[in-house]
Formats: sequence, C-alpha cells, structure tokens
Amino acid sequence: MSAVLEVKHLKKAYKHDKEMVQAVNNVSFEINSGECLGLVGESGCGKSTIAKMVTRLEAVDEGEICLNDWAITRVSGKALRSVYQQIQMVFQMPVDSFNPRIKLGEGIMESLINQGIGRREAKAKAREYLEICGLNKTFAERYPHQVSGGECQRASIARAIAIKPSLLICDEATSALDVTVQAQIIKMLKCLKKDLGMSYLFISHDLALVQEICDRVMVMHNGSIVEQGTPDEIIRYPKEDYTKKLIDSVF
Amino acid sequence: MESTIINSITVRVHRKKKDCTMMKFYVFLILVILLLLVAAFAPQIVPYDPCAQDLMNALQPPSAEHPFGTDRYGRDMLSRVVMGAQTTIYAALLLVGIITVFGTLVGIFCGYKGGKIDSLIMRISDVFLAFPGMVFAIAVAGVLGGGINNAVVALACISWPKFARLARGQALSVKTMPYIAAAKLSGSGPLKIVFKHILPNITGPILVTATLDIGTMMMELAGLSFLGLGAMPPIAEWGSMMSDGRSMLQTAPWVILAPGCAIFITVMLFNLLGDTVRDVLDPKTKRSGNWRKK
Repeated sequence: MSAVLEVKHLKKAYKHDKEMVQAVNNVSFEINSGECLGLVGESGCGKSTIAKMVTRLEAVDEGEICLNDWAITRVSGKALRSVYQQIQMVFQMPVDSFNPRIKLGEGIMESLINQGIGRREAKAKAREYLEICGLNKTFAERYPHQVSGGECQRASIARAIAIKPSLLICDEATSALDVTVQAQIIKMLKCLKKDLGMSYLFISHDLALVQEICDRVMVMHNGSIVEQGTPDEIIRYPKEDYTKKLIDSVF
Repeated sequence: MESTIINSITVRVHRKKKDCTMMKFYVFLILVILLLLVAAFAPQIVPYDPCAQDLMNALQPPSAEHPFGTDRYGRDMLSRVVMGAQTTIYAALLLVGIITVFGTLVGIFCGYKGGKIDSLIMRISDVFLAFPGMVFAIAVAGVLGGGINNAVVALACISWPKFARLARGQALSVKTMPYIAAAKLSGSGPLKIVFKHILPNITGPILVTATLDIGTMMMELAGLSFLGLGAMPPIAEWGSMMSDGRSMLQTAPWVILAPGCAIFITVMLFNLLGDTVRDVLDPKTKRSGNWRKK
C-alpha cells in the first residue's frame, strides 16, 4: 500500500509566559491509501496542532510532511491550492466552520470555484454532495444558524469531500454532537470511506469512537506518540501506563 | 405546562421588543432621508436667494415673511439654514465616508497581516491619537487654508485611527474563527478571505460607529467653520453662520439660534439613528428573529 501522508520528525513549540512549550515533539507516522488512522489523547496533548500543521494552517518548526510523495512542508501561496485539492478537514464546531453570512451551498461551492470549476457546475455539485451526505438540496439555501449541529456537520463533510481529497482530517468532528447524531455521522464517514476510497486522520479523545471507525490508532501524550497499533491491540493489551489510564477513564 | 407559558411570554416579549426597535429604526431612517432630501433639493426649496443681501431689512426678527428672521446683511435666515444643510451634511457625510473606508481598510489589513507592519501602522495611529484632536485639525486646516474640503481633510487626518483600531480589533477576533481556516482550506486567497469572510462579519460595529460619528463630525466641522477654517463666506454653513452671529446673541438671538437648532436637531437625529442601528444589528435581537423564522 502506498502512503498518502508521511510525517517525519515533526516538531512545534509555542511561546507561553516567556517559556517555550513543546506542543509536538518528534512525531512521525504515515497514513496508507484507504486507511483510517486514529489519533487519541487528552486535551492539549498536541492532536489539533498536528492537524493544523498537516493542513499548513500552522507553520512547521522542524520535520517534514509528504503528501503523495510531494514535500509540502514549505509550500506557500498558490501552490497551497493544489495541496488543498488533496487534503481537507472537518472541524470540531460545525456551525462556526461556516461563515454566518454565507449560505451553506455557497460555502460548499467556494472550494469548487477556487479549483476552477464554473459557477453553475459548482452549484450542481454542491447540491449533489449535500445529498450524498444525507441532506436534501434545500439545505444549500439555508444559513448555518438555520440548521442543527448535526446537519451543519454533514454540510461541512459535504464541503470537505466535494473536491474529492485523498486525505480527510476529522479534528474532533463528532465531539460537539449528541450521541445519536454522532453515530449517524460515524456511519456516514464509514460509508464515504468505502465509496470514495479516502484516507482519514481521525482525531478524537473518544476511544470507543476510534475503535468503531479506525484501522490503526496512535496514542499521544505531551506532544509525543507513546503507543500505536490496531484499536483492539491498544484497548485490550495496552503497553504504556498512560494508555492504560486513558482506557480506564473511558471504559 | 408552566414552562410553555413562560416560553410563550418570553417569545412575545422578544417580538414586542424587536418590533419596537424596528419601528424606531424606520421612523429615524425616514426622518434622516427627509433631511437628506431637503439638503439635496435645497436650491429648489429656499424661498429667497441665501446670498442675496438686503440691507434695508437687516436683522429683522422672525416674521411671516422671514420665519427665521434675517441676518446683519438682510439675508433670509430660513434660506441660509436650508442651504447650510447641504454644505454641512455633504461635508459630514464625505468626512465620515473617507475615515470609515480608509480606517477600516487599514485596520483589517493590520489585523489580518499582523507582525511588524501591524505594529508600525498602529504606532503611527497612536501618534495621531496622542495629539489633542481639534488642535491638530486646526493646525492642519491652517496649513491647508480655509474651505470646506480642506476642513474635511484636516478632520480626516485626526479621525481615521479610531476606525482603524476598531476594524483591527474586530478582524483579530474574526481571524481566529474556524470558518476562516475553512476558507483557507477551500483555497481562497488573502483578498477573498478579507473581503468575503472578514469584512461582512465586522461591518455591524463599524456601521454603528460611523452613523454615530456623523453627528460628532458635524459638530467638529461646525467648530472649524466657527473658527473661520471651514466654509468660506458667503457660502451658508451652520458653523460659520453661528460664528458670524455670535456678537449679536443678545440683540438678535435668532441669527445664532436658527443654525444652532439646526445643528442640534441634525446631530441628535443621526445619533438616534446610530443607536437604533446598533439595536437592529444586536445579535440578541437578531437571534430572536431567527428563532421566530424557525
């Protein structure tokens, strides 16, 4: 299997009260084509920082990120557009991830138009992907505050998959939703993975969810990867103390 | 049951409050539009030529013929006040327009870009804010010479930092919202992000400040004209009319009261409109509106 994403020795430090805090410390991993990699850990352990660095929303201090064998660590300007054709992200707060003054359909169309697709075609595609994500086309004409959190998250997934990325990053994509909606979204993500053959980086603090959707899991603590393996291995036979504590607190 | 009753009462209170706000907004908006129409069609409305002198009828008290009286050159005060509306309101709107657009663009640029350029521009704005505003404007107007357009430039020099600071603060908070990150991931460039995603989300507070500033700017323009650094005679302008009449406050008070009342009413009207614009754009009233729609 070829690697969609390869991350090597990634480091990131933030300045906090005149001291440097190492948010991500020497993290390396790879995601294979069609694979779903889970990233778990407590709040503040550096999961979202990794997502931001991989999507180039945050600058990388040290290390390298390769997307389909293309080093994207220092890519900037218009070349980033090509990166975003291959990587997309679903955010934690669905309603906040849409501009409150723009209709959902228009929000989905934006990335399509930026990729050079004509307005009319983009409009039709936006509606098509809303339907793929279980929303009828009337949702394209609604504003983010006029739909529920779950519906908005579906629209946000539609926006992310509309340009057919090879990697979808879900940064706590279900934590702001209630349990039933969470189950629906996970089911949908599983179907999309099967139908579109995308790879996922699934960031969560919920081990049960990760067990449900991921092929492989990495446990993160204080900016470093402490353990990785299949969900069953990690949950049944944890090696590290931190992983044991994490599992005890959930199950 | 009890909670349903409380809920329905809350909904009714929300609706009533919102309806009242909207009604106030429309009333003030109509009044302001009327005022603007009077200013726009002033030359057609005025009963006399505002610059025509008639020394035989100088300093006449208000009468049926001259409802606001006449000034020391026998010019009809009503005609001059109506014509003065054109000059004063034109200058105030032009000034507010310039400082709002310029200040907002500078502020958004600084807020979005950040770093050294932001610090540099903000320190420059601090320098402008450190001077006593009116004194600085008098100095600039003095250098540029009299005339209403120069007065506008002088006041624009001291007033833009307020809008730059406001826009910068708003841009800084909007910049961190996930939808800006989502727009970046959509492949949108900085210009598109600024004009499509940041600007529309910060217009509310800027619009309110601009509306409230129309009154303030009118006062400051009147102040400059009062000092002889604004509109040049014989152009009718409320501030310079008050300046002309100040020696006659005791003998012919109407000469100063007519433009004074005009300034008072206009400034109050723009301030009230600014207040209601703020209420209309208030997210709480907005939210209750959406709730209703649902």
